[in-house]
Amino acid sequence: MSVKAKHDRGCLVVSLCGELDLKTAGELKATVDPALLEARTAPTVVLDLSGVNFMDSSGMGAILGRYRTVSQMGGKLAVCSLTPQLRKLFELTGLTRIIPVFASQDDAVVGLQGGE
Amino acid sequence: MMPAMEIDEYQRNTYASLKKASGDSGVGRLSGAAVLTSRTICSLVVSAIGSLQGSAVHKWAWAVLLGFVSSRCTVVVETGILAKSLILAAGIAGRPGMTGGIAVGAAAGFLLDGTALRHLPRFLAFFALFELLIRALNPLAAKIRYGRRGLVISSGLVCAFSIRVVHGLIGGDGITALPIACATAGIVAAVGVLCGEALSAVYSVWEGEAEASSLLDMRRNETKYVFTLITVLIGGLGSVAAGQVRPAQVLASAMVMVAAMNYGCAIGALMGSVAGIGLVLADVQHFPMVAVYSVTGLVTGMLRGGRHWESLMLGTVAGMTVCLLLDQGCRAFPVDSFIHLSIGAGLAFLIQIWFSHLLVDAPAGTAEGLPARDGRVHMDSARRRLQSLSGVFELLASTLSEAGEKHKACLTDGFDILLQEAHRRLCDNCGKHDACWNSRFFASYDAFLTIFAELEMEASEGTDHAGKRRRDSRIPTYLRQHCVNSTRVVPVVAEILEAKREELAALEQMQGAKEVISSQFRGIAEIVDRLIEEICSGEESVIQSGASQVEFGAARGELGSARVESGAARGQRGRPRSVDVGIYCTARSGNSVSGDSRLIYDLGDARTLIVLGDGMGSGETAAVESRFATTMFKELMVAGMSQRSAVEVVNSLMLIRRKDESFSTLDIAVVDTARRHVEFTKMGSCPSYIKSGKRVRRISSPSLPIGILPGLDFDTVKCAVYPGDIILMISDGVLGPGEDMDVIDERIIEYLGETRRTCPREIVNELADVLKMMMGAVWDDDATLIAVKIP
Repeated sequence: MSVKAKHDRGCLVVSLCGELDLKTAGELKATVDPALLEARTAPTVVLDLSGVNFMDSSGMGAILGRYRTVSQMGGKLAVCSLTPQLRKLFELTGLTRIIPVFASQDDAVVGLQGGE
Repeated sequence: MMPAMEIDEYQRNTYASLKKASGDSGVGRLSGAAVLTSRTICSLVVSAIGSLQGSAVHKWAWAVLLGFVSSRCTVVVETGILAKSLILAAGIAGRPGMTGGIAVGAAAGFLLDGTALRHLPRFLAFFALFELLIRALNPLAAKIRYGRRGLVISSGLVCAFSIRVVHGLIGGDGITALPIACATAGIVAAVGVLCGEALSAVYSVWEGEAEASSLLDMRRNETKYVFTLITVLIGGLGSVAAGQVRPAQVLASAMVMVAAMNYGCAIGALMGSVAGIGLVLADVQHFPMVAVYSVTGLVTGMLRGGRHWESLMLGTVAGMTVCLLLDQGCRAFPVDSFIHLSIGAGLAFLIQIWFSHLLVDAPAGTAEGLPARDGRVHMDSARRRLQSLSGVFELLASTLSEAGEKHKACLTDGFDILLQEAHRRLCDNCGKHDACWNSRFFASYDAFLTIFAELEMEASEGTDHAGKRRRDSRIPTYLRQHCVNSTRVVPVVAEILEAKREELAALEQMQGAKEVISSQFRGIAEIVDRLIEEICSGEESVIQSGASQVEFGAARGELGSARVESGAARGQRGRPRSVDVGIYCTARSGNSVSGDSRLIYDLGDARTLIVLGDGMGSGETAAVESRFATTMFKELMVAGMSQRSAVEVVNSLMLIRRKDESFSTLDIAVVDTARRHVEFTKMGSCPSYIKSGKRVRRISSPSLPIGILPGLDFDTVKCAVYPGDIILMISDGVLGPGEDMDVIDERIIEYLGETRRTCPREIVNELADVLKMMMGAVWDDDATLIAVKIP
């Protein structure tokens, strides 16, 4: 799995591609966590999952772990570009109740900036 | 059996024989004294009870009346013994104020009765000496055995004896004055103690110091005196008649039957004897009633626990039988007895209904019954202590919760504090301090307010390095022109804001921890409340023999099944119902351990707990998390916590347990075979299914897994189930990687609707094969299927 991070209008945008499972969940942590530590203020993070074709509970755990870290820092985390299967998974586990889901990266950045 | 004769003639002959035998001896006089005492003391004590209500003046007036009535009684050809006894009784009961009233009333009685006027000096001498002794020796009461009570009784004895001796010597009785004096003193003391104990007991109830039911606790001394008092009352009413009905015998019958119904046959028989003796004291012709009442009490008490009217009826019949056996050749005897027993039974029935709340549900007055009472006493004590314990935990929970809220309120207002800090760091010891903060206060204040607001806004909008470039250009013009430390303003304010944020973050973490602990305390309080309910209701959760907990290992492809005997609550009829369970589980490819944990446990009361947990991730770490969650949840449920509270507690434990990710889904089902329903609680878990014949219901309730957030928002779903229904619970590995989730879900529903298999093990086995075929015979995640059949 590849993990690419960039900053867009104050948001940390992380794009994932591949399978997000036990083996690759560590890559997500390794990319996001240092960026969160660098942020001295409340961070805003967007996870672009358009390229994720498989995600198991380890991947869910990694996303939830980042969510918890960001929340503790007073920031916000959102996901975008979910495939139908991933959306189903998010709904099944109730994650849509706490993690905003947007259709695209741009919508997510605008949404978080706007305080949605 | 007595020769046939009129009962009156028998009475006269017996009494005459008794009188002749007694003669002038002290024994005969004591007999006469007992007879007279029993007749009069009842009305006097009733008056005393009535005097307990009302103001002090009211009570004193009743004491006067009491003394007056007592002065009308002759005991041992002496008038005044009863008055002296009542003075002693008032002292024993701790009512010294009554003694004066009794003395005044008695004196008035003597004065009004010319024939008794000669007793007045002796009585006044007794009263004066008694009061003198009490006042003089009161300081020594602590050193006297039994304290003040002993002092009062001793003083009464001394006074009664000495006064009688002096009177005897003056009257020329000589040495014969001694036995009479002893008898007098004894009677005064005995009657005084008796009445004093009774008055003390009644006083304690009327003045709210004791419960009325405590008087009827057979293990308390006061009860004995109260019953003796009633017996004396019976004797006192012996001579009263209303036509053919004698209230004394009616009251005696009622008292015996009430005692028997509430305290058993032993106490009933005893009270029968006591009641009979009470009647004998009044009139010796009632001697056969001792046997009648004893048998009545014995038989009535034998049926204790049944319907009241059955006990009373049989007791009456038994008493009548004894009357017939003791037929003294007079038809009036059994007829009178039948009338009195029947009316007494009716009175007892009404007393039982009206005053049952006062009557202690005491066991039979036998040794074997005492442990039950002891147990109940201990149980009541345990209940009270547990209630206190529950209150403590509830208080701790609410205190922690409120403290957190207070913290939140404090954090919102703080600009003045921030400004003070900035002022301290920038403006203290500055030469222009007065100019800025006295002459131009509002401008300075506004400038700092602007700085703080802008930096705070920039912090919420962008990261630190991006905003820094803008900050320097945002120093207000006022500060540029007037502040000598203008270049330090922004960095200092930024530092202050950063420190504030860190403080807020720390406090919020503390608040989260407090909420976690608060929820756990609340859970403990709930467990304790459940224990209290069980103690009070006497219910027990019975777990019948058979497997109560089944757990299976997590090796790949291992099949398992269990038969769990559901416990039947005590008192329920019918044999225990059992749930059949079938389990299929497999670990992720390459792993030897599945991250799924499952647990089936018999909670008792026909309830079976099924828990399926899925730790985040897979392998051993996930297994540890899910095992912890399922086991902890089970333990909390067994302890008595509700499902909701148990989930919240497990969630809080998961939160504080590990720093890194520690999540688990929980799929909980509590099957109640007696009430025919199943209650689901789903924490981030997959849907469950209920097969009822060909109909399949899909149960889903999306909520977060546990261990993510402190606050949980979830619902429980309760569904009716019927015999033969199959409940299917699955882990997310069964549904596959995602793209096939809907397809697999539909296939499961289709299979359940079509299959005719009824064995849970066969169902999970076959379903697993079907699904693996769909997914290419490979499950890429830990997968578990649990099927439960409703009996």
